[in-house]
Amino acid sequence: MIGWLLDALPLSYPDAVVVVGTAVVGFVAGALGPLAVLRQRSMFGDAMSHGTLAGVAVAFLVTGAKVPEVLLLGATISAALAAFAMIALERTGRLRPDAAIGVVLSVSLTLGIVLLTHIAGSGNSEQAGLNSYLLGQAAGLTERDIVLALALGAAALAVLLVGFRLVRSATFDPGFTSVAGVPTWAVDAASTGLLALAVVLGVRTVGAILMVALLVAPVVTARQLTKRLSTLVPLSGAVGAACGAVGGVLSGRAELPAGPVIVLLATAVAVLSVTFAPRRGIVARMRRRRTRVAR
Amino acid sequence: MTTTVVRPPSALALHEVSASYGGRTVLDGVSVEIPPATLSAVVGPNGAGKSTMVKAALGLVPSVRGHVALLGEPLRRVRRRVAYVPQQDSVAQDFPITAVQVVEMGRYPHRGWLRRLTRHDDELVAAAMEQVNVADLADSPIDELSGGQRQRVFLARALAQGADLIILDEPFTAVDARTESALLEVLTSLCENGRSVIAVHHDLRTVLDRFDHAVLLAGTVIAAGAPADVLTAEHLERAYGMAPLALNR
Repeated sequence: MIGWLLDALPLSYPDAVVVVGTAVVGFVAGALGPLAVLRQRSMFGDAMSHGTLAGVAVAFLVTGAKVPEVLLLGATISAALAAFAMIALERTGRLRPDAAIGVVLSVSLTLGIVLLTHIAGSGNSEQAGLNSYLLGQAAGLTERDIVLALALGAAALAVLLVGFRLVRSATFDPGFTSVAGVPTWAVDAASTGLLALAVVLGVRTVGAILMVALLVAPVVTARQLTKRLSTLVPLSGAVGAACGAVGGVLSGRAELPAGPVIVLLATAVAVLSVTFAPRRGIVARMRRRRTRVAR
Repeated sequence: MTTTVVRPPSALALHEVSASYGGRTVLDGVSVEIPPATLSAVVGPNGAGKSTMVKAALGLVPSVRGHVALLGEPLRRVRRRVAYVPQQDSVAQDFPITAVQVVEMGRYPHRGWLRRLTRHDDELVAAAMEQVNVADLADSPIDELSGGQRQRVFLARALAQGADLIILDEPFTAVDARTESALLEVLTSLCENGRSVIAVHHDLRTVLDRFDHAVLLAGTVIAAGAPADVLTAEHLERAYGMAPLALNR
């Protein structure tokens, strides 16, 4: 099915793989991004993303091969460990959330870089390209990566769709939701899990350091254009998909790492939206204020 | 032969309830009964544990000791009958949700969280918004409403839920005087129809004028009963360390 789509696009096969692959990753990140932004957990997502690097390195050291699924599994485990470490530091160490995030983010990035440097120096010829997990690379995507991202992404979005009201209520008004009998900690845990999935799927393309921008920027763009969460989620997904696809192709052409190109693009779109959005944009609000003063 | 008079259970009954936040004891052995079908205020100085008391009663504080009954039952058996209107700053700011969507939340405990609302639910939601005069704001995003309009919307949610006990935490902060008076009128008429309303509040003047019952708190219960008996100079001095205002007319 993916093969048919790749053939149907008016692009060369490698370009088509990049466009579809980065669009899928961008859509999943954009659609699940509200779970980070609206829960004020953006930096939490960033630390999980930095945490994936060590997991990728360890998975490679253990298996000695660059099997995408295995590296993905390693990334998932270490992202989960990072999340767990942050929560534990907050709860038992009585650290403020920003301090817990700071500690975990820097420690896990350091660990990842030390391990990757060690692997690079080990003379293992298989290791070439492992560095792309740092800043991302779209060119290396394969059809198999797309199928994997599609399957996991679809599963994550299905969970969000089914539990949509729970997530919306628990995020908007946790007190009411808890009194109504919902275990809000479980909704919180599930949301964090979905966020981790979005991060892990995108890390190879966008890179561990910049992945958070693909979670946040599309949400910022879409938030300016809607007043409903039910519109925000698909709209943010669409923005993420567009930025991913265009950025992915551009980075390949310009021979630049994909992460920075996609992120610069997504940020530019967000700035445009914040400035010019019809109702909530800066220009629109200034104009409204001026008419009010004139009256 | 004797006839047993079945008295309706207390709206809220706390027995020896203690709660602490981060190692600091905020509530120390609070025992109090708030009668049903009354408009009751929980008052006291800052840090007296007013919010903590209602949150503890609603299972929102992690470490609580003691016994709590709402409408004569443990919370888990009366969740649908208890509505909670939290402090405005514990609701997410800048969240993409419209006024009518907030009021619809009041129907979720009845309908379930995964199912569609019925026409009956929609009618209850519309009627509740009508009752507090926010029907015309249904499609407005919540972050574009004034403090007074927001509070009306949150009260509409409690009305749509059809709760027998409504607990409000500082409902009149950032609310204009007209809205405060209008909301108090709605709450009073609820009580006349047998519902119970408990509000954490700090304006002692309104408590004297509009409430049926008051609980004065300062870590523990200083006094409880009719507002005029509770808000005496002696009690206020014990709670606030000094009489804050001459309240006697």
